[in-house]
Amino acid sequence: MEKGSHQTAGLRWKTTFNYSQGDTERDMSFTLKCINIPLGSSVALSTDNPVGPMPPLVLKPVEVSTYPTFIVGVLVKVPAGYTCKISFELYSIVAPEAGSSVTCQAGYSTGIDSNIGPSRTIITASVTTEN
Amino acid sequence: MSKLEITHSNSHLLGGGNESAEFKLFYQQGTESGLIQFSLICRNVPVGSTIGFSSDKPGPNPPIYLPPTTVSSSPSFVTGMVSEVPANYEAEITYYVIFSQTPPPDASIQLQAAYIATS
Repeated sequence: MEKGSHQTAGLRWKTTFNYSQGDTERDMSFTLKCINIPLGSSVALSTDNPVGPMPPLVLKPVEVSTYPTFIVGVLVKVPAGYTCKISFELYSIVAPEAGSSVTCQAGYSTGIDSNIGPSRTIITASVTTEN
Repeated sequence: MSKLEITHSNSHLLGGGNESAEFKLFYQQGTESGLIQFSLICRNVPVGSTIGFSSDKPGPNPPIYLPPTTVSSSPSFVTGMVSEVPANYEAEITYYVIFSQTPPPDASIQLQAAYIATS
C-alpha cells in the first residue's frame, strides 16, 4: 500500500463524542486502538476546539501497519475545564470485516514506580465504533 | 473505569547525532497469561523517522512485532499493538528508531508494556 493512500481510500466511519477534561490539568494520551482493521487503512483524530491543549489535539491520518491490532496516538497537556467534541475517522479501501473496531481512548499516567516510572494509565474516556 | 497496568517501561534519550538507535528490554510475563499492550512512545522524534520493535522468541499471538512505522506527529507520537502473551513467556524485545534528521537533545523513545485491567 502506498503511503498517503488515505487520500484515495474512502471515509468508512466517523465517530464524534463529547470530551470534558474536568477540573485537573493533566498530561493525557489520546490513542486509537484498531482491532481487525485492514492493513493500509488510515485512522485520524481531531477536535472542534483547538484552544487549550498543547500541542494541539490532532492526529493526521496514519496508516494502519499491523494486523490484527494497531495502536496510534499523541500525548497532549490538556488544561482544566477544557471541553470539545472529539472526532475519529477510519478511511479504508476494503470494508472492515465483522468484529472489527476502532476505539478512541483518553488516559493519564499515575502511580510513579522507582523502577518502571508511571505504573498505570487511568482511562478517562473510551469510545468504540465497531462493525 | 479501566486501567492499563504498566509492567515494563524503558525510556532513552536520543540526542547525540547518531543516525539511528537501538535498545533492548527484557520482558517477563510472569505466571499468568494476558492481553498485553506494547506501545512505543516518542517525544520530540523528528517526523519521518522510522520506529519499530520485535521479540526474539515465539509464543505470543500475534507475535510481538511492530513493523517499521513512520513517525507522523511531533512533538509526540504513540504507536503499538496488542498481543496475547502466554504465562512464563520471557524474551528480549528490541526496539529502534531510524532518524529522518538529527533529533533535538531532548528527543526520547520509550517502550511500555501494560495489561488491560478493569476495576
